[in-house]
Amino acid sequence: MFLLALTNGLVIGIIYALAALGVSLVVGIMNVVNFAHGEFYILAGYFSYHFANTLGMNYLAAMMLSVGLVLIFGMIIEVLLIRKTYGDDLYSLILTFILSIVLQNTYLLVFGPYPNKPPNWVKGATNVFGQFYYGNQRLAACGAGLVVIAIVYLMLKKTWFGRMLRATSQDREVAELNGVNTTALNMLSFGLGCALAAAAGVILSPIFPVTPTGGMAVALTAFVVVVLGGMGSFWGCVVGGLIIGLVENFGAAFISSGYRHVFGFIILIFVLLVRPAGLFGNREI
Amino acid sequence: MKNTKVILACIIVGLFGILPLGLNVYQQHVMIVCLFYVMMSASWNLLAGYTGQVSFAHAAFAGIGAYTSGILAVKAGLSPWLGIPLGVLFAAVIGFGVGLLCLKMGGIYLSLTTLGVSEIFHIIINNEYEITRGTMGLQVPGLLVEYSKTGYFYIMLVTAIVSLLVIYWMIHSNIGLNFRAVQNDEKAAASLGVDVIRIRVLAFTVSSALAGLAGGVYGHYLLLITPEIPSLDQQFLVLSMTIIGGMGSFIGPIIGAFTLEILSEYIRGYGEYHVLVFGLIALSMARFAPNGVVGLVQAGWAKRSTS
Amino acid sequence: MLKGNGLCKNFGGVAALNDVDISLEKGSLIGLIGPNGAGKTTLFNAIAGAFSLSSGNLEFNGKSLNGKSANHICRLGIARTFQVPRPFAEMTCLENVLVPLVNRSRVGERTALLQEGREILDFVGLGNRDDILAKELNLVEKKRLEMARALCTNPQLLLLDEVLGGLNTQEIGAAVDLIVNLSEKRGIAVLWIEHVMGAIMGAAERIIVLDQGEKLMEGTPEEVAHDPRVIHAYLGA
Repeated sequence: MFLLALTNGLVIGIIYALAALGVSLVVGIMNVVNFAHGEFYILAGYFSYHFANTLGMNYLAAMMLSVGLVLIFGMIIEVLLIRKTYGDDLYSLILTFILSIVLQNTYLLVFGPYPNKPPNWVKGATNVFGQFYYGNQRLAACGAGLVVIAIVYLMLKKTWFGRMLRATSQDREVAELNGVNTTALNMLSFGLGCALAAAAGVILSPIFPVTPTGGMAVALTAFVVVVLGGMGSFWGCVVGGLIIGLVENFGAAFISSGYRHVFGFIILIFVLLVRPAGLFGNREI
Repeated sequence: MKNTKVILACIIVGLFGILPLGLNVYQQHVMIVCLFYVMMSASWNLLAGYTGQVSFAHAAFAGIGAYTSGILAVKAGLSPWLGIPLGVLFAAVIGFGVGLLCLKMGGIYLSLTTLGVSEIFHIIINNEYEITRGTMGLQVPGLLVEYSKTGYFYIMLVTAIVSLLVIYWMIHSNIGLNFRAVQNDEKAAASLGVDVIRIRVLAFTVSSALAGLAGGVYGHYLLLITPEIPSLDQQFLVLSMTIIGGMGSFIGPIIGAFTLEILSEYIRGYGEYHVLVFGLIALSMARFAPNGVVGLVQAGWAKRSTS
Repeated sequence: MLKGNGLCKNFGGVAALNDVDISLEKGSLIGLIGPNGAGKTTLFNAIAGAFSLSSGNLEFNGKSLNGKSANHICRLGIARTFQVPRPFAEMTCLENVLVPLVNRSRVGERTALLQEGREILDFVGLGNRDDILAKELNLVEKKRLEMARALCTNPQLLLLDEVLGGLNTQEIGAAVDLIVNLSEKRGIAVLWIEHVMGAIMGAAERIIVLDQGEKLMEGTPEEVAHDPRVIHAYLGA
């Protein structure tokens, strides 16, 4: 029971961190909370389902193509909606909230109400610790999640683009003075945030089939993780994801499974009362 | 100026008073729903539009009002006439608590915390199935001995008028002035003697109590209290109505509620597209005319008077 | 009336204010100068209760200010202006001054308050701008509005943070007259941060010089102007 909860907690924690990474990135650079984050996740899930199942594409190719399409879609949304809201975080929150409802209802119309599940990458289960069997697809998703998180980390720390992003997130004006084109950068980073949602979507949809309204739960978890870890902090996002994953799964295993998500919220509220900027946050709020 | 406003308000209320005579049962139902949304939007606007605290838990507070009264009626046999005030009180107490919880937070943090509160409430309703009946809904007694749409219309009308009077009084008193000062610049307001903590918590408490009132009366009108009342979809409708009508103005949410509810009934004839249509309207309004219909009209007036 | 002993404020290990003593009498006009980053605005924020001190004692008319919130301190009779004006942008000028008026300990009739608000707007030179939204004002007018709002709290001590920046010579003259007038005629004590040296040296009775969070010296304008430490602090090594 303990080991199962621990394994579940770690695997789900990585998955949560992955789902939250895009939100964290966009908050850090643009100070915009993308309420529709979950809907980009769901869209990628639908894309990969239809590319793989309906069109018969190779699942890896289907995943890549889905993420690419959502990246472009995200950039279009930035130009149409988000660009006007810079400097007013509540305005962007309200706009993306409405956007999320619009997208949910569009998905319902286009994709229908039933859950869609892209193909599994791997079959079977592995015996963990000699105690219990754990689905291989879950382990593979966890591995893929770690790979994406590592890629994002390397991109932020090692590349020229990452340095530009970090400079902008620290001081927008100074970055602008140093020749960073923040308009293009905003578009790109919002798109990137959406692409990360999409990456989470294609990795997780074989485990959690996508539904038109499923994005809200994803976004909620992502928000909890990001606020807990501290808005815009990379490590905060990873640690926050692991904490929420562990707390929820231990809570579900030992207290009550129905209240799984409530434990995460309670931890969040407790942390916010002590550290209003989150665990790794230093932003003045 | 003030007198014309009062006379105008009296005429409108008077028209509403005789309205049921000219409406069929279905139209009366639509009017009752409209009045529910008027109360919800106007009280959300008091919080979001006047103090800048964009709460996503407003529908949840309507749910608290409805479920408190409903559960008391079903489990303890308490009359809804007593249960609804208790529901209002309970919503106010929880609102006070959430307001305190959110004190140190501004902007996005507050919004996301209220989102969490709303979600917790939802999970509780779904888990405590034996008390709340979960998604099946809780069957509750009505407010009237003999069910009558006209009767409910008048109950809803009186409740809505009382709510609107409370809100009107608040925003036009010193409290409203302080609300707007806090929304504009919290630190400056504090430096000028505004008790920011009191003002923010007060806004949360009153707005939650009014949502609880709306939810309670609505629940006992529907005779069935479901998780639909405190859902995020409901929250979305309230937010859209306020934004389309005009956030931060007294009349805006009222206009928004009537327009969108009547529109949605009209669209409903063509299938379940009303939420999508709403969303698209709200999205374009929020993007291109953030001050809503009221803002557009005001801008039109200003243009006219200068040219 | 204002007494501060050993005031310290640290921001994440950096001492923005280190062991500063300050004492003000009723009706006095004290200048507060120092190079950028000397801790002048930090001292204001500490007195006005925008944040709490790391250590030290602040007293106003015999009452401790430690741990008191900004609005409480305002009601005790200390008003401040902000270096960068912070008007209530979406409210009219009259509404801006009405906010402090309705939050004073004794609130009168709305009509009387409106009258008083208009008079004070008139007094600072915003007489014809009552119904203009504050965001429409230019910088000079915003600074005046800032001053008007502070006056509406009915202060015994006024903290002015660079109210002359951006004004031309004529406007500076008018503003200085206004400030001197406040202290002499109304008996309001003024603690005044200013970079326009000519103005503050001429008007202030005494000058406090801060440098790197510490009080460098305090004295008459002449003493300060000729002190080698002050010259050193401003010109650097």
